[in-house]
Amino acid sequence: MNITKHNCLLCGNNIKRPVTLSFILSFRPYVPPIVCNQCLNQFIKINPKQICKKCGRSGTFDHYECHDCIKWSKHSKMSFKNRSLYQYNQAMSDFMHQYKFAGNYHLRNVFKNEFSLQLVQMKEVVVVPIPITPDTMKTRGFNQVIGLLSGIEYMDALATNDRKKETPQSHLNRHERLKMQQPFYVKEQFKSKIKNKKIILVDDIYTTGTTIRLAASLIYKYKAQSVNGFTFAR
Amino acid sequence: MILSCLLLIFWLIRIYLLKQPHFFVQNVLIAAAFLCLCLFNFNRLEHQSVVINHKQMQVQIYPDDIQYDGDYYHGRGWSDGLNQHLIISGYAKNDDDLNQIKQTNHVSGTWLVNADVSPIKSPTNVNQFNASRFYQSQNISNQVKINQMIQFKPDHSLIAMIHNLRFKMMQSMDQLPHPLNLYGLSLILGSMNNDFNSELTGIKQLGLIHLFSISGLHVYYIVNMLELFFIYLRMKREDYRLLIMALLPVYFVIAGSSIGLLRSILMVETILTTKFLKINLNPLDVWSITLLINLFLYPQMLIQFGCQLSYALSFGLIFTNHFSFLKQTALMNLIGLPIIIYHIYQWHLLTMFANLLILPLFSILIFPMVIIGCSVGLFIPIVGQIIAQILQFFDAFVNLIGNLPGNIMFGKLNIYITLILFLITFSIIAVQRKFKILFLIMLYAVSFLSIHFPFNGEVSYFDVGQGDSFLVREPFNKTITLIDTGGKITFGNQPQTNHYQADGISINYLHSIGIDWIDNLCISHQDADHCGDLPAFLSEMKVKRLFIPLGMVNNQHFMNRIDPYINKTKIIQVKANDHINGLPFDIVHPFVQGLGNNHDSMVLNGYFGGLKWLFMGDLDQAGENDIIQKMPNLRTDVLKVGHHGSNTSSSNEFLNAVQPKIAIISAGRNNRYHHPNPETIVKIKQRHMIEYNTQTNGMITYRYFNHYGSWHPFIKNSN
Repeated sequence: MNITKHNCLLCGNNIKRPVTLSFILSFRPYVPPIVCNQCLNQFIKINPKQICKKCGRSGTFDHYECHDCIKWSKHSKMSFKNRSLYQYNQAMSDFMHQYKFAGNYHLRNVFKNEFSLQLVQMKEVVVVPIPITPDTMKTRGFNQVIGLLSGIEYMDALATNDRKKETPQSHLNRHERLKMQQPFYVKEQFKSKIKNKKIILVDDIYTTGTTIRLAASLIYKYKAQSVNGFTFAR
Repeated sequence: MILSCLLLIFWLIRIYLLKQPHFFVQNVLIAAAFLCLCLFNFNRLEHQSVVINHKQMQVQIYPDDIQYDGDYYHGRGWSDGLNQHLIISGYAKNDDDLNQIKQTNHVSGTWLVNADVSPIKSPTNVNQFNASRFYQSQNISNQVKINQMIQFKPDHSLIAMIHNLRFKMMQSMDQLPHPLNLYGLSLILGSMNNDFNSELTGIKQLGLIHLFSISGLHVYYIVNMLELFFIYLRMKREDYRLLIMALLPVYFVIAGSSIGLLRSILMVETILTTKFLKINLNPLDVWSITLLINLFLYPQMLIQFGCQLSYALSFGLIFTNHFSFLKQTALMNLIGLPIIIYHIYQWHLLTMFANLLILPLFSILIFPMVIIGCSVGLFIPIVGQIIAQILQFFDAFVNLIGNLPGNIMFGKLNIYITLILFLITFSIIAVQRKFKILFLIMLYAVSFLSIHFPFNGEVSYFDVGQGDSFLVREPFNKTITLIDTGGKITFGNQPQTNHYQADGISINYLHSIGIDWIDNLCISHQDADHCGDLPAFLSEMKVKRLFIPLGMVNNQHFMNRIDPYINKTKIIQVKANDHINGLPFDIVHPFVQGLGNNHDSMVLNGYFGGLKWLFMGDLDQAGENDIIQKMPNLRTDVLKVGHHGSNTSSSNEFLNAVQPKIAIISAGRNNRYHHPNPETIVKIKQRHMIEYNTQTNGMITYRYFNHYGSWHPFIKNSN
């Protein structure tokens, strides 16, 4: 009987998820539930039909482009689209806090399969995760983006410039973020491998889009065929 | 056997693909333990078969387990000596004897009897009810025939007292006005005719199949009522739950210990136990545990129709609860359908409607009324009378619907097809897709057509004991001809009962191949072993034409017997050389008018599947002589030997003239006439004929296509 007895990773309550008939009649493996439906329902998925065509933000917009993206297109002509899985709401904020800053690495299990499944469905792309600084790596112990990849082949092509990060990015305000300098460089051995590839940059959160766009512009320099983004939350 | 292996493999693959190694190992270990248990049980059942003749033995009998049918009584009992349950039967010698038995069987006790013990007989006809297997699933393998009762010693144990109580309740409930008494007996005490056939007839009627599975309903009723009562007494919840757990087994005995009851009581007990232990289980867990306990008690129980239906429906109930009432009812009917068709071969179109309309009526109105009627009605007769009136009205209503046309005689489904239908149905419940529903309908349609338009034809000799009954079915069911019906010969002043053995043998077989009509019913002559079960055919099947030998309409005895049942059937008298359209036979005998005695027997000659066939009835040697005189060119391949192989038939001259190659003897095992006569057997052996005998072969079938066919005796010759 204990096959059906699990506690929710987020709220700690016992998960009651009855076995369904379609599950019994199928040959699917048993995946132990990780979070309860109540917690899961607090996260809101982005409906791919109602988004900004550029940055993947949820909502309906004139000309299918959001305010930010119109601004971006004034700055640069770079072709870059982003898509995201979940809306960045309070529940997601709390989750990220637990996952990234409290260092609950096992929380990646909540979403990793769902997130990776989306990536698997994109064909002929090379997945490049956004890296973290060595300092962060020392304190956190893991890259939260790579943690969300399960069974996905990725190219760890990017690294952070060797400069001390005075303030964590999450502590910067919007204006400061937008003024950021290129924080990344492409590792030597990957420089040739990027050429003519369709690159998908993967990050955990898309806030202003500065980080991922900086990375995209860097990769375009090495003659990638296309560069687009996929983030977990937006 | 193959089926169960397939299911086992299927299950193993399924749980392996769960990819939970611990779970897999646990399950396989539990399954292995169950397998050992089953093998152990099988072995024990095999070894408990015994044959004892005329021996004194002690049998413990509860009064409510015995039923009377005229001077015949039967039921079940327990033997300490043999350490097993037994089926009991016996005949009272006269009225005094019967009264004495009834008087004795008033309270529980141990009977010292002189009796014969033998294993329960296996069926000898295709698709006949397997009593041996049915009782084995209840761990019973022997029957006791009581010859004489010697001594009685009452039993005062607790269980005996409960049985005494149930018997008293049965008696007092029987005094209530009709039909309240019947409703009370069946719904509250679960006392329908316990004989195995009634396992089916109760639900054969207008698909009140649910009544069968909701026999669990009264358990929930009783539990709820008890809870309310204890709450009124201000008892603590933990206390009264324990009390209910203790009382339910008593109720199980009182309410008749049926399968559906066992299921629902086990379910309630499981729920209460888990509540007591503060374990949280979902309904599926409860269902599974109940099934495990049930199989632990009776490993073979799932071969029973009622058990299959009860568990399938309660399983379906768990997964259809979120649908609307209408949809749930429809799906529940769909779940039961393959099982019902597999076991009873037919289904009424209005079942669904009846379940929708009658079932709610039943649980809200009828059941509470019966409870009130049977408790209050005992003391205040007027209450009972009013409720009986309402029930009568309800009865008339149900019968009205039941008599509407719409019964589909489907025929027996192939077991694998049944399983596929069952799985598709559940898969539809899980995820509805148009193509699945279409496939389900197609599969039903294809099965129906293949049963109703078979490419092959058949000539079958039923094993009806001492008597004749043969079926000739042409390919594509072009004509269905039955020669004689079989029947029991009654002696002296034994009362005529409405119980026909044809119901369980030939009619059952015809239903199982999807046939509910007979084009030509030929009665060779008037003896009861040839036409005794004719009323059963006339009343239960559409008989288009009834052929009798010329002059038998003047036989008042015969005509009186069939008169009430004749309805739209055309009676046609025949004599030799008559040609009748649609009858695939030539008539060879009688030449002159008679009253339907042995020497007037109708003799039929036909050609099927490359062979010539002759059916002799009980014609004597003089009649045979007439035939070879008047038809010197008559030859045959298959001879139904006249008069069950008696030496009054089958003269050497006749056998030499018609030159049969295959002889069929239709006679009862250990019959009192010692048919077939050794002289006849010698004649058959001398001519090197192939011999089939219903005594040893059971039902004998020749299945043919075009001019070729093959013999399929139900029991193959051992030599």
